[in-house]
Order: sequence, then structure tokens, then C-alpha cells
Amino acid sequence: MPYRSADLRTDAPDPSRLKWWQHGARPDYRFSLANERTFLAWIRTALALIAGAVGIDQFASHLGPLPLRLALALVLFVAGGLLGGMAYPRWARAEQAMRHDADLPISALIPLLAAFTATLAVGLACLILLI
Amino acid sequence: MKDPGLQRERTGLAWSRTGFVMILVALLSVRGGVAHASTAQLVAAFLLSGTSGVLLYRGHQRSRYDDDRDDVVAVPSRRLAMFTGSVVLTAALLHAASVLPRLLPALGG
Repeated sequence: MPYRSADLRTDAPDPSRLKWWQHGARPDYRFSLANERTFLAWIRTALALIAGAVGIDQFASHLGPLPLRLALALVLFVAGGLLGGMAYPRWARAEQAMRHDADLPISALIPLLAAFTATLAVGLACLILLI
Repeated sequence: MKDPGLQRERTGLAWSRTGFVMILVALLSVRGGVAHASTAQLVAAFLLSGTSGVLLYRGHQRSRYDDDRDDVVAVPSRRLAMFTGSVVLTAALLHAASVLPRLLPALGG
């Protein structure tokens, strides 16, 4: 059964009973796929943070005292979890905006993630230099 | 050309890349789970490895070119996106839960 947008149906149901992904017009498939790839990029970023945390926990026994390493791993796990959790809502907001031909939402995650990564990099560099 | 910019292929490859990264994290989680005898990390590894298989399959599906089903490409992977995000969040929380019991005594003394 081919996919058909709600607006193409002949027996159009009550609009108030439609789900958000059935409202508006179906966007150009290229934009939907671009949104999907952006979602996947966020997921990979989240996985990279988790991998970094596991790496610090398991392979960096020389990197400072144990509480510091565990705290760093915990921060990275929480950050990875947040990014993973935020990826779907971000994708859904962008999809909704495209269906209604509205502006794409501005994500506060990008500057936050940049600041977090920069702080982490400087902190780790200091840690390596001091030890 | 029915697929300008090879959008389907690029998206399929993005799913596959994500699947491979997830396998890597699953392997690291297995190692951590065994090294620290942590059930939480082993559960995270199980979740991630299962999901990585689904992601790789999705990548294969997305990359396939089918002249007769041009409409399929427009269906967003809504449920799979929600599922993938939830698995990553759960895996991160399970890892955090496995770190806390070691962190708290270390901070205490």
C-alpha cells in the first residue's frame, strides 16, 4: 500500500483527529531525508560522547585521580544521554515546520554543545599537562 | 534522474554509519560490563547491539533504489527515530548508573 499524505485522501478524516505528522503538506523528500541525516548526526554525536566516557572510565587510569575520572565519565554519559534524548524532538520539530512551510526551529543545543566540547577539551588538556 | 543528489544512498549510508558507531559503543560496553561486573553496562550493550542491527538493516533499505516505489522514500522513519533516541538515552543512563556506585565511595573517602 503506497504512502499517501492525508491531504491527498479522498475520504479526508476530521483534521482534529490527525496526528502531527499528517498535518500540512508533505515536504519534498530531499528535505525529509536531509532532516533524517541531521537526526542521525546528533545520534552519532551522542554515541561519541558515550564512547568517550567509556574510554575515560576504562582506558585512562593514568589520567588523574579516580573520583575525577569517574566524575568526568558521568558528565559525558549525562551529556550523551541528553543529546540522544533531544534528537527525536528536534527532528520532529523540523519535520513539523517543513510540513507547514514555516521557519526551521533554531536549536539551542548547538552553541551549548560547542561550549561544552571546548570546555572539556581545555580541561582535559590542562589535566594532561599538569599530571 | 529520479534521485538527484543520491539522497537515498546518502541517507542509507548515514544509517549504516550510525549502526557501526553503535556496534563500537556496544563492544566498549561489553568490555566495561565484564571488567566491572556491571549488569547495567551489559544491558546497555545488549540494547545497543540489537538496535545497531536494526539501523544497519534500515541503511540497506534506504539505499535500495526501486523505480516502482518512488513514494516510499518520503516516509519519515518516525518510529525508528524515536526508538533510536530512546535506546541511546537509556544506554547513557545505564552507564551513568554503573558509574555512580563507584564514584560515591571514591568521593566519600
